[in-house]
Amino acid sequence: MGDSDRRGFLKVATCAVGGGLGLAIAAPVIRLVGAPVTTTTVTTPKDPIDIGAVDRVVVGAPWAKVSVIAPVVSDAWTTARDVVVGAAWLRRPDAQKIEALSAVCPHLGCAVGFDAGAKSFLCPCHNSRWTENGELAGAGPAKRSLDPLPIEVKDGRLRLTWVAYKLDSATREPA
Amino acid sequence: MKRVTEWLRERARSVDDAKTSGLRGGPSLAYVFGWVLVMMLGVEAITGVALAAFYAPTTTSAWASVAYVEDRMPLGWLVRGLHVHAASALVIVAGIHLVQTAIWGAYKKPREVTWWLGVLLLLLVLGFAVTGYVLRWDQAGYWANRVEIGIAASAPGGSLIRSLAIGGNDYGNLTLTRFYTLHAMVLPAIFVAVGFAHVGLARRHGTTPRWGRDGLAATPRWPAQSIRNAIAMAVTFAAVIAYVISQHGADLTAPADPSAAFDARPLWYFRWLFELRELAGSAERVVALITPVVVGGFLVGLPLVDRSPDRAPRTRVRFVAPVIALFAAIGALTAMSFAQDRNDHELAKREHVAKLRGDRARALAAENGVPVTGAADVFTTVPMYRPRMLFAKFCKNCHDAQSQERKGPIIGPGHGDRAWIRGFLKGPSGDRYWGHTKLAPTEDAMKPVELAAGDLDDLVELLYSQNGASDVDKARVERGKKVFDGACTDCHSIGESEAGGDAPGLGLLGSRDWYTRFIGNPKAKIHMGDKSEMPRFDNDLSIIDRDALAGYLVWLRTATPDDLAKLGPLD
Repeated sequence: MGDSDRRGFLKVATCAVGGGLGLAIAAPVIRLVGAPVTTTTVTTPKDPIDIGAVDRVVVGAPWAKVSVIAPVVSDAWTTARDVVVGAAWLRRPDAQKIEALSAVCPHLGCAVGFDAGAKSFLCPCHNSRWTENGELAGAGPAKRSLDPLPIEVKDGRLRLTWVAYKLDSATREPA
Repeated sequence: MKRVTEWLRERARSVDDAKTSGLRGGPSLAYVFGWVLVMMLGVEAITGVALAAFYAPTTTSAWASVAYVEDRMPLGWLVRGLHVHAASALVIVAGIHLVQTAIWGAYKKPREVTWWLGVLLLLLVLGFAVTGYVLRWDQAGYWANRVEIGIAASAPGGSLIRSLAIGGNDYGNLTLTRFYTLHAMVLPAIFVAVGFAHVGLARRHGTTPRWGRDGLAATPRWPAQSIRNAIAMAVTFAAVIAYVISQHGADLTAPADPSAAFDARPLWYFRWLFELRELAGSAERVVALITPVVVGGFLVGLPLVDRSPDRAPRTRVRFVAPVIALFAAIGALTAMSFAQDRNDHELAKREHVAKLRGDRARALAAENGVPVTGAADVFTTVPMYRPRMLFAKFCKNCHDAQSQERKGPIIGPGHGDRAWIRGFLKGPSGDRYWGHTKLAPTEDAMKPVELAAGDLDDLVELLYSQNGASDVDKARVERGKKVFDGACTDCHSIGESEAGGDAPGLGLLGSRDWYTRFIGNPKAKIHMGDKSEMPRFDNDLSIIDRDALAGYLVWLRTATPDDLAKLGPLD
């Protein structure tokens, strides 16, 4: 074995040992730090949530905001009861019918308010507006109407299913 | 590859022994900015370590720990205020440093790498701002972060960036631990490494004299330049601390609440991007993602295109002008954004409400501490929160003085005291008593009691004494029993647990125990029987809740409207 062969081998070996060491440290760290990407770290209930008696929404009244309070939410190492996960706008056009809109702005997820003066929904972050029925009103960057949420009445109680939709897209698909 | 290393090696070489030869072209105020930046970074590091000693990066405690430093620790407001506002000053001085370097042409060979590292440092400063703003977990920081992450998520591969940044599928504890790690460990480590390289290279190359002064003899740094640096640092620090004191530190809004709308705005140094997005209309997504790339690319590219050795700005207008135009545009957009908000009166109203809510949350946190269940629950620490909530939910509609649908007696301060009992006896169907009940206009309603004034007082004392209060005139009670026997026993009884004939038994009337039982079932024989319209609550309310309500009613007896107002609102 010539001297240059020897030097070449030692170079490769040094790099290999160094690289191996780096990999041995990096691999578990990357695996750990990247783990939340594929983990459901925060559980939000998929089942309908009781949000109160049906009477709390008056027939014919304007949209009323209710906080959606999940009975149990686990967040990484904690679990908590009665956690506010978001808000919904509710109205009852007639006694048989109930409508629910998610208060999450379909643009970037701010909480949408109702502008009683202008009779329209308004997102305070980027001034997107929707008509009284939740349709796009042409102002602001939002690309779709407000997201309806499944809601049913069971034994006089309102049961709402909380769904988070993909943001900033014209089509409505669960996130 | 070899060419690149050779190119880099050339940049790493010292220029005419710059370290020992001092300042070519003499001392100048143009050179103070680097030192001012080092000083401000020192302020950030020291205040940051102090804040870290108090901070708790969890969704339940983050806001509480910040509020604790801000409102309860000595000079906490000053240290946190310095940390927040020195960062603003840092961005301003870094901007001036950058513009000065560009005008001086100081990024030219061999200083290209120094310039790039400087641009990277500015980017890192902005990274500190983004990662730091969310840590307070108040409405402002929380919603600003949601929007920023939302923008990042709309980029190609953005959903991966989002879940990496917020640590999972939704905002939670891992969001805070991650941003905290970035803000307090990862970014500082990178910053120190890049900062040392930047300063090290700058020292090797020496300062760039003003154009046309290259030929002048070099003078020592010490003390002519040093005094300029020291004065600039002192002036900047004084300005920052004066601002911090004038603002009484940094703001802290109400705890993050995913259900409450908030007028989220980015930190002021991102306002130009915020305004640009708004102006871009439907192209906002492209603008939001492309603009930072274009601006960054322009700054990085400058030394590669402006390569002639001549540094006089007059001959480099086509390079200097865009730099100045860029910062002028950023300034103008920032001013526009703030002007627009200033002219929005609806916004001002919403912000006022948000500020009141934030101040209230902080006052409650300072007074009562924050429940371990989370900062949003700080609002539940007001006195008698639970019974007042129950009252608002179950009782108010029929019993509140302001209610349009009132069906029963008004319940408020003074309910059940001597004056209240006397008023009731004199006119049971009066407006504030049973006037709104179905019973009032019928024959079944109780008739007004007609007694001599002294006898009435004695009877009032007897009824009042049932609640167990200690301020009872025993002699009057004894006399009252005789009055009761004469005037009331046709219908009522007053022995403990003793039902009346046709009307409520009055034993223990107005005591906590009596209220608890009455709320449970007003239609019980010992209470109102069928004459009551009030629903029974022993199914809807646990005995604990009924007892809590009873405690509230007992408190109301001796409370004034002022006492009630002092309890504060419920949310």
